Formats: sequence, structure tokens, C-alpha cells
Amino acid sequence: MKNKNYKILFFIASILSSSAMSAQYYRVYGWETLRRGWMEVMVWNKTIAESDLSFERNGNEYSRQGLFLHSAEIEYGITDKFTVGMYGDFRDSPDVSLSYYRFRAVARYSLFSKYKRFFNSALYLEYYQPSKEVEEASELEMRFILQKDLGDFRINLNPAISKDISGEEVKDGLNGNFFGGIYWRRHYTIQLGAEYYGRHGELRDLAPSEEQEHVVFAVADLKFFKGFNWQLGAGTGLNAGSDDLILKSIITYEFNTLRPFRQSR
Amino acid sequence: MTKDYLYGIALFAIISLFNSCVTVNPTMEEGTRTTAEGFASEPGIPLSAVTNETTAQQLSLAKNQGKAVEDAFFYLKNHANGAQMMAGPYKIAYVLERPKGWYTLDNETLHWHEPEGNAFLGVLVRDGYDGRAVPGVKVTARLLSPAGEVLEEYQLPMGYHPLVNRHGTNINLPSGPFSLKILVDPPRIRRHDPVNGDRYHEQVFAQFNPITIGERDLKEAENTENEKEWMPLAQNQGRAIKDALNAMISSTAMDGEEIQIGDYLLTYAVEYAESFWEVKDGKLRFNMRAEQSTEKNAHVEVVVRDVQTGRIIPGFQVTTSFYKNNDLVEKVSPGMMWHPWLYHYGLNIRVPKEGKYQLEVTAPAPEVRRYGREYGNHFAEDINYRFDDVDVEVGQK
Repeated sequence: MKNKNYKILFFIASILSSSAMSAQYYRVYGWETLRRGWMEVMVWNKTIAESDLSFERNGNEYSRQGLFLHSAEIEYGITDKFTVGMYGDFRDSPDVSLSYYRFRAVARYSLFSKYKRFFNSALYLEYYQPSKEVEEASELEMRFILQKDLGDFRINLNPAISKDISGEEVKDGLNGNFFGGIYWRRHYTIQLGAEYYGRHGELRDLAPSEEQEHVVFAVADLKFFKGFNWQLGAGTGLNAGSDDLILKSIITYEFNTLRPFRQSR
Repeated sequence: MTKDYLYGIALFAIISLFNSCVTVNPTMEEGTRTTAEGFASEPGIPLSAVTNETTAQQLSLAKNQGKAVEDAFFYLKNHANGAQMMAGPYKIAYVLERPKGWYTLDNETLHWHEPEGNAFLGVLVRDGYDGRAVPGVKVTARLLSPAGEVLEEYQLPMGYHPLVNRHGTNINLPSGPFSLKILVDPPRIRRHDPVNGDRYHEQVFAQFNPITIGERDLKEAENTENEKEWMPLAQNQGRAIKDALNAMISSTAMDGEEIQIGDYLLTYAVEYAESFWEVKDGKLRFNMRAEQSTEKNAHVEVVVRDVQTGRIIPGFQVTTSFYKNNDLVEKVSPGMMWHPWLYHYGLNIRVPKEGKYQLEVTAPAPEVRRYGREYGNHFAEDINYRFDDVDVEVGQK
């Protein structure tokens, strides 16, 4: 009973925290996908605690400092190797009230069996559809997920390309991004890691370094009970084109929608 | 736009719920059903699917083992008296034979017990899908009068038998017709495979039609005169298990080996750490810890078979110890593990790093009854053997 209360408490905490912080881009994916019939609910929160950068809305420029990004997501395992999901992203800042920002649809497919190749590899496809009020382009992003376990450490690499598929920048070429993380997984309850996020701009004409984004995060994954994971992270920009201090929180809970013994195939 | 977003969520939820891959099987382990042999808990063939831990080929290895056990049961049925019916996820069969004597281990020597009672009741509980005998079930037999009164109740321990291992004991047959009700409590052992391991949840029963049999009608099926008939059936079971062991060592495990020690064929295999189902607070739950950290980074498996037929010998308490340069690095006592195609003693372990280890397997001689004057006079020795150069790779399945 106590355990049940504990879970409920964390669930409520996750909902409440979504209105206090926010999250979006900063996640490195691993090879694992949800099992067939399993579902994952997720609340991402990211806040930009310190930044000299600005963002544009309705022709006005606003400081990114104090900007909160919130995201709610559900993912579902269609097969043991194929997961689909959808996100709703929201943002909030001292200058702009909380508003729906964009929709995302994702699909992940894990290739081969685990440890059968040098890297465990998977494909990730994400479609971004911004709200009409945001006046941003729709975008497609594809990540190639590479995972390697080295003893107690796990390395996840996510080289990615993205492409605007609407708006003025549709004529631009592919953008190149690289995300990666290393995690110490010795213990179940707490796992520490470091992540890197780099957005380099258009591949055929790389952006000047001050317009690229390079951010490193220190992260901790906390698992208090089965299916629950809470990733907390603090990131700092490495160049002028990056925010100075970013905090993120990603709460996930995965569960089986239907017990296998009640299924037929 | 918010509305569009909500429509999207609703659509996603509907697709998830009606995903054609997942359908509800509402009759599983609920209600009762009349069968040709009597009546029983509502039958439902347990889900056996290709998963990330089991291939179609491996499922067929399990079915081969089940077929060999079934052939043995039909031999018993044809040479003694018995019947079988589906009940819940099991095929439950009984066989009535002449009373049997057995050996037990007392002070490291085998002690013979003369037959008692006027009949031997044997019960075989097999999986409804693959037909293998289910390890770890608790079997109770009730003899009922025609009016339904309980005349006798017996707990049936698992025993080693020359042809097919089964639960059973000597009983006193009532003088008139009686009904046999068999109750099967689910095993409390761990189970591999995120999908296939989710089976055997409730107590089920099988009540057979009234039986009229006298002491003089009872026969002995596993006798020396018929050995040429039944021994190949026992050895077929062993061969089917050996095929699964070979597949485990050659295609799934990182390392493994079988050796002969006296009456025993002892096999080990090591794999990556694996998740499993386990009974916690009386309920079967899926334990995912193994795949979400390196707390455990490998998995050890042990199988002990008898030399004569190659069948798995029940009732061992196995301990495995891993040594690096003669220093103990890990010691665990793996219990019996249900596995979709190869039952074994198994548990996740942690070693400091991948490399070569020595693996010591110890087990006192099994506690089970060994039936048959000629065939049960075995398994008095403890097991204590050290495998060298065991190649352990670390990781999580």
C-alpha cells in the first residue's frame, strides 16, 4: 500500500513539475524500444536559466532567459522493435504566456538483435508540425542510433540530419546534428552520465561557429520503482550560439497495457 | 489547433487499443468446462510467441520435448490405466498403476522403501502449448465418492521414474467407484521471456469421470520385461532436451559445456543478464532490473540430467561459484527457472569484468524419491565440479 502511495506521489509530482520547468530537444536515444503492447508516458521540462540569446514571435524578439519548454508524450510499442509516439510541446516565458507550440510524431525501429553487431543500432524519425501561430517550418529529423556497452558504461551516439519541409527554408539543404551520451549504469537506482548536443547548421554550408549550438549536460537518471525513470540534467553552452545554463527534467513511466497471458497472437 | 492536438491523442489511443497484434483472450483461466474425460477449469492454451528471447525454431525445440513426454504418457496409459484433459493452461493426466517402491537418500546412502497401499497414483502436469512437464507445480489429488464427499486427499511429491518423471504416491483405492479430482497450484519459480513467461497464475482443477478399478486390474508399465518398449521413449525425452541444450550452447549462450560425473550429465551455460517474471506478494510480476543497469551483468544456467536416459533429474539445490585466479568473485544459488524451450537452474550474476573464470557447481544429491527397484538405485552422489576457462561476456539482454 505504501508503495502504491509512493508511485501516486511521483506521478502527481511529475504533472506538477511540468508547469514549473520544461524540456524538448535534449534527449539522447538508446537502442531499446518499447516492448509490444507497452506504453510510455513522458513529461519533459526544460528551462533556460541563463542566456543572452533571443527568440522571435509575431515579429517581436524576446529573451530566451526564463523560457520554459514543456512537452507531454505518449509512446507505444507496435512490435518489440517498432515504437511510435506523439508529443505536444508548449512554451512559457516571462514575456509570453503558456501556449501550445507544436506537435511531434516519432517512430523508432531497432535493427538486428542486441550485441550481434559492433554497435546496437536503431533508426529514429521525427516529424515536427509547429502551431500556425508560431510561423515556423515543418521539419523532418532522422537519427541513426548507435549504442555500445563497455562494462558498466553505455555510450549512445545519435548522428542526425534534419530538413525543413515547409516555409522559406524548404530550399535549404540538410542540417547536420550530433548528439551523444555516456552513462555509468553500475547501479539501478541512480545512474550518472554526460551528454553532448551539437547543431551544426546546413551540411553543405556549415554555419559559422557562433551560430552553431554546442551544449554539454551532466545528467542523473533516477529509478525509484519499476517502469519509472526521472532524468535530471544541467547543461551549459560551449559557444556564443548556445544558451549559458539549461536545466532539464524528463520523467517517464512505462507500463504494459495488456498482460501477455491475456493476449493472443 | 489545441483541438487538433486532442484529436491526435484520441486517434493514437484508439490505434493503440485496437492494434491488431493485441487481442484479449477473456476465457483464460476463468470458469469451468465439461470435457470428454470429466470437467475442469476453463482450458486456454498459453500464449507462446516469437519474442526477442525466443525464435520459432526454439519453440519447436520445446514442442519436441513435449511430444517425447506425451509419447511416454500414452505408453503408460496403454499399459496401465489413465486419462488426460486440458485444464487452464495445463494438460493434466493421471495414471493408476500397481503400488511402487522407491529409494530415498538417508545419510548419503540410498534406502529402499517397499510399496505400500494398493495403487500408485501418478499425475503428469504438462504445458497446454508445448506439452513439456511443468516444473514446480504443487499437485493435490482428492478421491471423491459418487456423492462428491472427499474420501482421501493426497499431496503428490515429484518423483524420478524410469520412463517419465511425474508427481505421485501410493494410495488406498476405495472399494467402489470414485472420482479423481486433481488440483494444481501454479509454480512459484521464476520464468524467462517477457511474453511467454507470463503463464500459470491460478490454481486449476481437473475432475475425471468416475473410475471403477479393482486392485487386480492394476498393472506395472515400467517393468524390466517391457524395457525394450519404454526405454527408447525415455531416451527420446533425453534426446529432445539434449537438442535444446546444444542449441543453447551453440547459438544463444556465450559459453557452455557438458560433462559426465558418475550418474549425472552436468551442463552449464552463461549468457547476458536477463529479465524474468517472478512471484512477488503472491502475484506474478515482470522484473526488468536486469536490463536497466549493470547491477547484474551475466546469467548462469545449470542443467543436471541422468546418464541413462538424458532426462532432467528433479530436486537439486544448486550453487554456482565463479572464481578468478582462485579468488571467489560471485556465488549464487540459482533456483529452477521456467524457460520457453529449456528448463534450467538459473540466475543473474555479476562478475567484475568480462573474461575467463572458473565456475564451480555444487549440489547435494537430490531429495526426490527414485522409483523402481532396478532403475531408482542412482543419484546418491553429491555434485562438486569446477569448470575452467569459462568465457563470460558481460551485458544485458
